[in-house]
Amino acid sequence: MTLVIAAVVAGAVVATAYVALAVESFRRVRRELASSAAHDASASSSTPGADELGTGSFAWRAGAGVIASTCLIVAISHAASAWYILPYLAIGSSLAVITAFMLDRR
Amino acid sequence: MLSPSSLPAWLGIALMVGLGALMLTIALSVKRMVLTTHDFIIADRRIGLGFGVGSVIAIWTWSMAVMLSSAQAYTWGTSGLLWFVVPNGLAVIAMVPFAVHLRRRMPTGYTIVEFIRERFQTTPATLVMLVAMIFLLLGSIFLNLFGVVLVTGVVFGLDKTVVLLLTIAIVTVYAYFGGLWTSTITATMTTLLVTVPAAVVVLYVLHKAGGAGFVFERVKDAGPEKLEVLRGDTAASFGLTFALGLLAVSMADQAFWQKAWAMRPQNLARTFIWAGLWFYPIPLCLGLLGFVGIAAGVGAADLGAFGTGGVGPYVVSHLGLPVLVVALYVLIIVNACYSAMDGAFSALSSLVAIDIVKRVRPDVGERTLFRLTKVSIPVAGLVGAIVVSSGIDYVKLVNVTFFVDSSLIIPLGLAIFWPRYTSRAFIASVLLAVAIGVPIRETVSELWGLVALLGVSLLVSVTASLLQRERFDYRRLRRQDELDGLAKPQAGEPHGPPPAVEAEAKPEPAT
Repeated sequence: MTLVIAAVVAGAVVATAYVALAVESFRRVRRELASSAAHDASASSSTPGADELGTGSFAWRAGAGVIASTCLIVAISHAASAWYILPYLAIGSSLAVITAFMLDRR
Repeated sequence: MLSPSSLPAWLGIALMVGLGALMLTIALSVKRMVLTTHDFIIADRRIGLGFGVGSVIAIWTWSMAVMLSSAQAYTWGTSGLLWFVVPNGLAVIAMVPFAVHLRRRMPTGYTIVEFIRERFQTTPATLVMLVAMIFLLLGSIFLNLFGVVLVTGVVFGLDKTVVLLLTIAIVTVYAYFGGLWTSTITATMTTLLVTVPAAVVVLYVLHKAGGAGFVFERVKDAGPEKLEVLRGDTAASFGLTFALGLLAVSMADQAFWQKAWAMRPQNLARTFIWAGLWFYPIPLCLGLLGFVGIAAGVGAADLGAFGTGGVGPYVVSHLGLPVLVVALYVLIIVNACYSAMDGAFSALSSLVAIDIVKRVRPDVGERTLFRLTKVSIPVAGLVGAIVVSSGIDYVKLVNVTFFVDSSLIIPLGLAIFWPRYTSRAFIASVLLAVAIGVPIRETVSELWGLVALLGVSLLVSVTASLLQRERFDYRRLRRQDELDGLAKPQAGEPHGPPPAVEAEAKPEPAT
């Protein structure tokens, strides 16, 4: 039950940060759209230069994802304790979105 | 260990309507940002990393990811989870080279059908792509409708027709207001509403079932093969077909392409990589419910007509969990289904605007185009309602559609990367691959059908192109792209909501 309570607490903290950052990001986009100057900037940003769209790290990241998920499945096939990692990793997915929102702020 | 929870039907309806009301509230606040067709279908190409990652995870987390992961774990053990989860995340990441390459060559595109039209300049090739895309999106809508029916049927015993019609009405209404912005923001909220509750529900289920150690031992007792990761029969029975099918679904899915063209360009690769990597934990976590089903001795008779797909809802509703935990689980599933459906509606509206209305009436006025684009959403909802209430086996229909769409993987990849690829090769490869692959699928097996389909597709594509000695200049895409753009608010024109009178009085060019 301790693990459930820990997940509820962690989930509540993550949810609060997530919603706050999503609302902030939404308001920022709405402000940008409301300003005609920002709209001009959008027009130029929609035609990316070749260097903006790098795929250099694509292969190793894709490989890392496959290896990591396979390792997790191998782990849950051998040890019951590994099962408890998976729900917390699901909360980690929301943390990744939070990180992405924070990068958007820059 | 298991006994049914007696949950009132009204609770199921309340959850569906309540979630719809939340999404509608978000949609209404987004509505003010959407003034033109360009805003509606491409969100002014302003989707940042946060909304990008959040929404791509949610679009891919449809009913399949949240319920089939449990079903595959229940049926095949950890090998089922491996073949379900790994290709799923990889399919999202695999979009990166295609999306980046195409966005670079066609920076202001809208739809993948539009790309095929500009790339090949022939009506048959465009039509093949358009029809395939519409069926794929309708298939996605049907499959997610089935997801809602399944969870509400198992947990609350709700009537199928009531659920279908209510779901279509709810999603259609909120998708109508705001288009891609609505879809993106509601999908981002979906990622939160799936991941955190999934963690709490699964941990509670493990606790209630006696702990992970107890469940692990019971699964081992049920058969050691359930904990064998590398089982040949799993790969042959569903793994390989499923993996290749997933790659086709993601690559040929306008919901993904729409996002690829709507994101801020510098975030494109990173968005798909992050979304793919952080998608993995969701089916992994919910897959554990399948093991609890094995441990609890859930049998085929228990699951009834819903089949193994119902094992997750069955476990959650028969384990004696508190109503709040069961309600959270239902919300996860319903939310994932709503989000995938509104993403499909949004993608469908972009096809209607760019590939149907603008083609049939190139000089259509912005107001008419905007209206028709929005109306396409309730029309698609109506089609969905008619199909699913007609009594046809739409799950089988979806499976066939996804299989047929696999014939697009190689042609689409070659169209994006190979300048020698020709329109005749494109059409011939798709038609021949389907003509040969589908009968083999029906008479021999799904795996051999897929092998034949892909083999024919590759062979015909390469041979026919090499024989024609043509070469496409990809710079033409960029030039055409600049000519074809939709009307956008001009510099100096406020993007905020205009007075209603002004909007009404906006002149429309003579048609």
